[in-house]
Amino acid sequence: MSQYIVIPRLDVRNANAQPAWWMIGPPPVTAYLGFAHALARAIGVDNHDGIAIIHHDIQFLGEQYGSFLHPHQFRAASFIDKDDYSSKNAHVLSSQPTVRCHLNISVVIRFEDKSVFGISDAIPFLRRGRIAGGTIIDHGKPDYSPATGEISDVAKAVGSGFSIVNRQDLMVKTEIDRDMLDVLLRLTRPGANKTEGHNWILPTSLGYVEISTCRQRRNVRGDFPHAYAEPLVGLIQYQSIRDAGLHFWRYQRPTPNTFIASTQ
Amino acid sequence: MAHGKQKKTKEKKIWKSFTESDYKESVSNLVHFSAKTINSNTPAFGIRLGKMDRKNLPFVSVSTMDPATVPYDYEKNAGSTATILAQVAAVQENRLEDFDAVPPQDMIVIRDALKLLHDSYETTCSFVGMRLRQVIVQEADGRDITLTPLQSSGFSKLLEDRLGEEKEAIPDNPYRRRGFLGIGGANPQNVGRHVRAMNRPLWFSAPHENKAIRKAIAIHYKGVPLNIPQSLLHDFHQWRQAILDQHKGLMPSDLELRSQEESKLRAMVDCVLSKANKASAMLEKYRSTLPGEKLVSGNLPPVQQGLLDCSLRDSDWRRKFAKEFHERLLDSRIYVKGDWRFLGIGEVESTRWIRIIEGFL
Repeated sequence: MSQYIVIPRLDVRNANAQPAWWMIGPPPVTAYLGFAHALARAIGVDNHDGIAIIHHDIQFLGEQYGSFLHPHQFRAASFIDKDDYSSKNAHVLSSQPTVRCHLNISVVIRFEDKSVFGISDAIPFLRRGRIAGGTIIDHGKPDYSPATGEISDVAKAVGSGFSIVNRQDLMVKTEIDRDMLDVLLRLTRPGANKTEGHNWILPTSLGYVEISTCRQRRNVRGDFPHAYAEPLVGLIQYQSIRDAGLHFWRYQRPTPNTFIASTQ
Repeated sequence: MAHGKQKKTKEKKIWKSFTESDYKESVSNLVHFSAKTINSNTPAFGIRLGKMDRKNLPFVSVSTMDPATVPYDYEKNAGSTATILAQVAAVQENRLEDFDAVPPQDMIVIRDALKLLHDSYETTCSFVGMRLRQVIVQEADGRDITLTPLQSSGFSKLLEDRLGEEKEAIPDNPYRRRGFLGIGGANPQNVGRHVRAMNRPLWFSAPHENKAIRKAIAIHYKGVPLNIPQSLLHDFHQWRQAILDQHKGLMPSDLELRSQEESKLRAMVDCVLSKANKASAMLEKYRSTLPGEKLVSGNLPPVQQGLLDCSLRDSDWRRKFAKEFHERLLDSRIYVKGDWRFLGIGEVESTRWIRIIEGFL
C-alpha cells in the first residue's frame, strides 16, 4: 500500500531544456527525481517511492524557423570573481550558453504507507522549490491520497495530460546498428515509417554513470563524496494519461557506479 | 562563351616538427570529456575513458561506445597544443595528404604515442571547479553523493558524422530539427578542437496544450451550468416585489402582467441557451479531438446532452429542460440588503411556467 501527494499544474519558468549537451528537449527525468527527493526531505521523509510526471505544455525559449530553433542563449552567471568574464572580452560571460523552457506539469509522488508527513509542509517548499533549475511560479492545490486510496482516484485528480512512459524496451541493437547511438538515431529519425503507437518518442537523460572514482574533493556541495559523471540517454514516450495511467520513476543501481531512472 | 570557375585546390599545411616528448605529453593529455565546454574559465579538467571502461548498458553515452571511436580533444588550448593535435589526428585518421613533407620519424613517434590512448586518464585535481554543475543523488544505502556531469565535444563530432551518413543514405529524408548555440563564441577552438560540433544540438519537442481544446474536452465531460445571471434574477425579483407591494401580497393575473412575466422568463431562458449554443459551437469546431468524435459524453444527464447537441432537442428534452429550469429558478437566490434570499415564488403559482418555458424552445 502506498500514499500519494498530487501537485497539479506546476507552472515552471526557465527550466533546463538540455537533457544532455547534444540535444534540446524537455527536462530530463533525473531532474524530477531530484525534485521529489528534495520535497521528501522538506516534509520530513527520508526518501520517496517514485514520482509520476504528467506533462501538459512546454514552451522553448527561442525563435523557431521551420526545423530550426534559435534559443535565447542563457548564460548563468556565477558572480564569483573576475573569471566570470572572458579573458578576451571583459563584457562576455565565460559560462557557455544553455537552452531554457517554460513548463506546465503535474506530479504525483508516492511514499511508503509507513511514512508519516503533513501535506501542509509541502507548500513552503513549493514556494521556493525548483524543478530542473527552473522557478515554480504557480501550482494547483496539493492533494493527499491515503494508503487506503485507489491509484485510479489519484490519476483522476490529475485530469488530462501526457504521462512520461519508459520506452527502453525499444533500445535493442539490430545487426545494422554499430552501437546504441545508431539505435537511437534510427528510432527518432523524422519521416521513418512509424509503427502504430510510436508518436512522441524522444530521447532524454535517464541517469548517470560515474566516469571517475568517487572520493572527497574540495568545493563539493554538502562535502559529500564526489564523482564526475556523464548522462545516460535513453528513450521515453509521452502517452495520454487516460491510456497509460501513472508511471512512477525511481533510481535503480544495476551496477555500483550507475544511477538509472526506471519505472520497474 | 562562359567558363566555369576553376576549383581552388586546398593548400597543404606545413608540418611543424615537435619532439617525441611533446607528442607523448600532448597525446597523454587527450580527453573525451572537458570541463571547459561548460565554462571556459573553469580550471582545465578532462577525463579520457580507456578500453576497459566500456559499459554494456542500453543507453547512449561515451561510456557505452568503443572509446577509440569517439574523437579526442584537448583539455585546454595552450601553446602548440592545437597544432600538435591536428598533426596527431592527421596520422590517426590517415589524412597525411593535408600536409606537405611529413617526416617519417614523426609518424613513428605519433603512432607509438597513440598507444597511450588505450588507457584512461584524469586531470590531477583535488577540487571541483566552482563553476561546474553538481547534482546530488543517493547511494543504495541512502547516503548522498554528488555528481558533476561533463560534456564531450568528441561525441558531438561523432554525432555530426553519423547524421552526415544518414543524410547520404536517405537524401530525401526530412531534416532533423536542430538548435543553434554559440559555444565558445567567436573562438570555439579555445574551448576545444571539436567544439564547433556542439553548436547544433538535436531538438526534440513534447506535446503542446491547446487551451481551447482543453476547454472543449472539459465541456464534453462536464456540460454547461444552468446558472441564471444575477442581474436577470434581480430584475425579475424587483418586478415581482413591486407588483406584490401594490396588490397587498397577491399576484394579479392580467394579460399585460402575464406578457411582462413571459418576456422576463424568456430573457433568462435565452441567456442560458445562448451560452449553451456557444459551447456547442466550440465543441463542433473541435469535434475531431473529442472522445469518439461525439459532442457530448454519454454520461451527462439528458438535459445537458440536449443543451450541447441540438440534434437531441426533441419534445421529451424540451419538457425535461423546462422542468429543470423551473426548479433552478425556484432554488435561485439573490443578494438583497446584505443577505441572500430566495425569490419567494410558490411551486403552485409557478407550475404554469413549465409550459411557458417549453413554448420558448
